Amino acid sequence: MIGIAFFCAAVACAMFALTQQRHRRQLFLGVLTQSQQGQRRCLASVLLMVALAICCTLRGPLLGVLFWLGALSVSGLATALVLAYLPPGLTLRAKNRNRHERGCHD
Amino acid sequence: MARSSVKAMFGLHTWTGLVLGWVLYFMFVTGTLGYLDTEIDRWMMPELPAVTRPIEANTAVADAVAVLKAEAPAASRWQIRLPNGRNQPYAAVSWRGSAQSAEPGAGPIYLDPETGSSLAVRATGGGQALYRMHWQLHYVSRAVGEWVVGVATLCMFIALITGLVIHRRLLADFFTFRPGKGQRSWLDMHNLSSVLSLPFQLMITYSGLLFMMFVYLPLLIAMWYGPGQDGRSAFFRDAFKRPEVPSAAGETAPVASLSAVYAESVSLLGGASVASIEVHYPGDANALIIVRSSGSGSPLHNSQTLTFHGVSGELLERSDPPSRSKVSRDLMLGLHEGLFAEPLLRAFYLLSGLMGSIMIATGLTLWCRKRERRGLRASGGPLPLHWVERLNAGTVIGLPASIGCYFASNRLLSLDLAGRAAMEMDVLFYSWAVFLFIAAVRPAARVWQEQSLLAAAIYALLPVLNAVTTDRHLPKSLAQGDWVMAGFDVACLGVSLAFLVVAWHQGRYTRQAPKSGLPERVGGRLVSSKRTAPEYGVPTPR
Repeated sequence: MIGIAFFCAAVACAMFALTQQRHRRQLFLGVLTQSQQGQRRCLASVLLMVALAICCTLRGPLLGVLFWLGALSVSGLATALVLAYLPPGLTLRAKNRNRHERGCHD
Repeated sequence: MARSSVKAMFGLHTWTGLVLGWVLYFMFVTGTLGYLDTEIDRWMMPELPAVTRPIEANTAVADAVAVLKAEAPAASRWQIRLPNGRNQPYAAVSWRGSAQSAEPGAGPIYLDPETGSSLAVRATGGGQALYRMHWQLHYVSRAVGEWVVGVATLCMFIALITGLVIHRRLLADFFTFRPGKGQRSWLDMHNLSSVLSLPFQLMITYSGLLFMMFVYLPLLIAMWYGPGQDGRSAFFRDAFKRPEVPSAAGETAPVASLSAVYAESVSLLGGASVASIEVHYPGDANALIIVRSSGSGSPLHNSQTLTFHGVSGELLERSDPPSRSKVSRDLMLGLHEGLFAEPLLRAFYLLSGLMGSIMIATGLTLWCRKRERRGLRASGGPLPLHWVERLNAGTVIGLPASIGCYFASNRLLSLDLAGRAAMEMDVLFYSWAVFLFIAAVRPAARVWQEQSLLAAAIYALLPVLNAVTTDRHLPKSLAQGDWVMAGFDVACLGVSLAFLVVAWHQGRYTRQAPKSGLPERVGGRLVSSKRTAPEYGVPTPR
């Protein structure tokens, strides 16, 4: 179960990164509208809360928060390193999603 | 915030970070290793057997009493540490000599989990020495060390707060790391390592200050309890409810059964495990037994104390529940020490500690990079910059490398050397001095690469040294499932690989920029070379 919390945190961090203009430019993704950006950030925040809830349920409130902070650190670091060294890892999915959003078909 | 305030914060951040940056780096590296103190202890005492199954505490009490009665029948105090999970894997005994005895005492003496007899292990500082150094330093008195560490911690706290204020694009740059862009990359790594581990850094510095608050605020104690040691002792008795130990009666009387006292303590503590048993004046009519529960089960650090009569075994006193203020202090201390952390959480602690070390190292390097550019543009670079750069290389790479030498000395020094543990520490600091000397005399362009290669070689040699000098080599440890010994060897190889990557990166950078750009002394005067490193050709991103 703690793995699910980590997965949620990692996806949330990746989503936050992909709503930032700098990283969208870096990955050759289109500009998001304000509402799209807001929706994705809300969804990412919900995922972070889910991760926190899982951690607190499994380990209690005090240790749960510590686990959650640890998961955030690891996920944030992983996201930053993937963006720096392996951007295709995030790009392929992001590109496909972007095409769908804009109604482009190959 | 006004521009002038931000500028003032920037100056404060820079100078509080730089002036004691090397002390902070030392504290962070040794403190981070402190999260693996028990594992380092085990590697540095290869005579200790692997703990393959939980040790029965009741049996350990009986074994400890047998050893103490045989080895120290006339001691003024016995102490028994009972096996307690990861933090205390072995039972151990120690004692203090009586007032009449010339011997000051001995221990810890570890007990064999299988036979219960005492184990002969090499004298070493182990991981505990590294852990203690992060708040006491070394070669200085404890008071001096604590004050220096306190001032450094305060500087760190100020640097963290001011860093938050001056980092204008905190959210926009949250996941940003742009490698291969010189100064920009150093700044990104500095921001990334600090922002992602910010809760840990704030907690560790604030709780570090709380840890030593009685040292830094002596006047508060003096005001209420009077000046001098008597006042301090009275305060600590009040604050920590330490049991009063009467003086020895001088009449002999048999010690109460410690096994019975242990059994009663277990039932009284209601689930908490017993961490230690102390017997004051064993064999005297006024003997006192103090049982302490383990406080490492949770971050609250809530250790209880039970006091028994040393002859009758009757319960005399039970510690009261702690006050709210003590609970809040204990919580911060518990979070700082991380003794409660299970392996995954310990890995987070370790990662956060490493990120803190990286944050300080990149901050120190960034200071040089920025002034390097300004210095070259102006007058060819100031001399202090030259030395700060050398000191950075000698500390950032030299300190971990000299810790590797400390580990190597554990395997190379003769086992029967007098003062062996102190010599290991000497090796650490002498080798660090050598790394600083190398950094001072070698060309600036090569010094990082050379130091990294040396560090990589030292860490790669450690598993080899272990295999040659002990019978616990890596394949055997793996085959026996001795994960602590195997993990240490594998970690050494990992650290070696990390230093090789740093050396490779530095080599690539040096090839791209044949001249260092740092002012070198040629014929007694400073000469700056034209810098052609890529970082100067890259336009600063907006």
